Amino acid sequence: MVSSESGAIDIKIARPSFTLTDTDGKPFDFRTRTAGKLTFLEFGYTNCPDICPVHMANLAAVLRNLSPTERQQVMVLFVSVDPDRDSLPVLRKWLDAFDREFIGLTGSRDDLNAVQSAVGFGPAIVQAATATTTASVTHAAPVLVFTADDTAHVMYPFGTRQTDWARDIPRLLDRRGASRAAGSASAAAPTIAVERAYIVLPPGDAPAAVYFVARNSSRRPDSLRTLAIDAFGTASLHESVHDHATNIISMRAVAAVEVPARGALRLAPGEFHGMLAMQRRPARGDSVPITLAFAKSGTVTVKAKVIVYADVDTATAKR
Amino acid sequence: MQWWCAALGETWTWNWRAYPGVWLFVIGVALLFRWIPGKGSWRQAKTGERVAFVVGVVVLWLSLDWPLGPIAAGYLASAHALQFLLVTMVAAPLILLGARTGTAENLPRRAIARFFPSTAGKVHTGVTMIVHPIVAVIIFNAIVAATHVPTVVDTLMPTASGAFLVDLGWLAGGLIYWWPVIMPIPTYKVFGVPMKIVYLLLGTLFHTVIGMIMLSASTPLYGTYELAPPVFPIPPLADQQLAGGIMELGVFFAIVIAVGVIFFRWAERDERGLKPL
Repeated sequence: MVSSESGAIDIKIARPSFTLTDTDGKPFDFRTRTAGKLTFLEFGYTNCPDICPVHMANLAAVLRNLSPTERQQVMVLFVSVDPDRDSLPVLRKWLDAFDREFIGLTGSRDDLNAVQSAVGFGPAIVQAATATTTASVTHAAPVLVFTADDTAHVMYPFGTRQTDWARDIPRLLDRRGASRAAGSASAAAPTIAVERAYIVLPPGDAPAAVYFVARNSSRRPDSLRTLAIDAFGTASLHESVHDHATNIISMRAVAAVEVPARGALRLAPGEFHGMLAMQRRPARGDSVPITLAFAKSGTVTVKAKVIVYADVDTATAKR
Repeated sequence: MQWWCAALGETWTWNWRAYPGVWLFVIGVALLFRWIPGKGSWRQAKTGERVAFVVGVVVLWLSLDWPLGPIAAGYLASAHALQFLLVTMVAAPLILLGARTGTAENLPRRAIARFFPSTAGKVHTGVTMIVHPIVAVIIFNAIVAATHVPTVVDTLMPTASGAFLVDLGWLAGGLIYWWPVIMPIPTYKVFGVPMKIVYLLLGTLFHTVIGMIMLSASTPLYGTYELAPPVFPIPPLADQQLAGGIMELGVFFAIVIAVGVIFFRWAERDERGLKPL
């Protein structure tokens, strides 16, 4: 089994179809060009100070130890979600520092958002630099791994170590091994009940946030992987992070959040929350269906009441 | 503000940070090793001893404070190895050298008796036992081994108190290791120059093993450094190999220098017909 040993998260995503531009400036048809290969897909940006270079360096180090036959079956694709700063030469130079075989892709913001949505990730949030702040990019951190059966059965969150990749890659190269991992994930399904779901609509076009409580009545922990509000836009999991040194609160995307065995996961203001980028905004008082995907329990759909900031105290008190 | 350098997983910046715990600790160590030799010892000490003491305290401070302290705590295994080397093989022996004069007269009973009159004898026995060469070399090797176990490092380094424990262990280990060689008390008839050289070499036993493991491992051993935001463009495995090299070569040179000093001082005294130190 792949996931339980390495901390990888069980998923099931079909290899998507999309075309972006590679670092030679040519169109790259992802589904056709990577079909049948063990494909590592990461979204990030070259100015990333931590997650992206660590993932790339560790993957490159592990791939160097594969046999030539195994190496030929593996592709690593890095999709830059910061096209304004990551020109094709910049992206190529950055990837070459890790491995010249790594493929760099980018495209327009709309294309990149569509690709991220296609694999279940929320769109990256790029904030341009101002006079007082540096540019920042919030993006999904996990590395998706598509196996020879053209399906991603696992994704690797930040924190995956070289020993994890080294142990898992031979198994992932074996399609049956990957299938076993997915099968084992769905074998035991804890019961998840979601309650007290509400969406807080901010003024203007800022992203909304969704909060709820997910209760796990089984003896095994589960994890919340993704959430979706298909009728209104895209959703992604985030965590509020308080830097005590600077007293700045920022948000970072998270790959998954654990739901403890016989316990509850609470998404609440200032903690974990779902960030909603809405193309169509619901009205105050509406009930919006939200689909939550859990690693072991599958999907759960729940209706979230839409409120505004003025309702927050009342809404949370009643709940 | 953090009181001690720890692995926070934050992006590294070259902006200075204050670590008041480090300052207090270094001042405390300096005061302790002026208190042990007692009043007047500073004036009686040779110039070389005074210089050694000041350099030892400064090296201790530089190795624990910004920037080496935080880089060693959470970014580079090689910096961590350098810090280990500086604390155990440079700062500890130099501080002891600087505290030699007066220690023989003050440490055994009078200084302890001032604070623990009823237990002075027991405390003295305890101190004497800890710095017995056989016990000291076992303690030092045990501290070196324990503070390099990956699980221990990855558990302790993310918190200020955990990182402090590691640094404290290193300094304590270094002081205990060098005490029998440098300090005038307690004295053992069989612990002459040849035995001191054997003792120093025995102290490098675990360094050598750990250094070899770091040099030969095919993947990074410590998650703290493998997953740290990059400071310099050096891959985690190369950083670990550099750390192994520092462990091997750095400690080797420190011991060679120490053995050389002991040997030449012994030869010099022998030539002049004096008793060996």
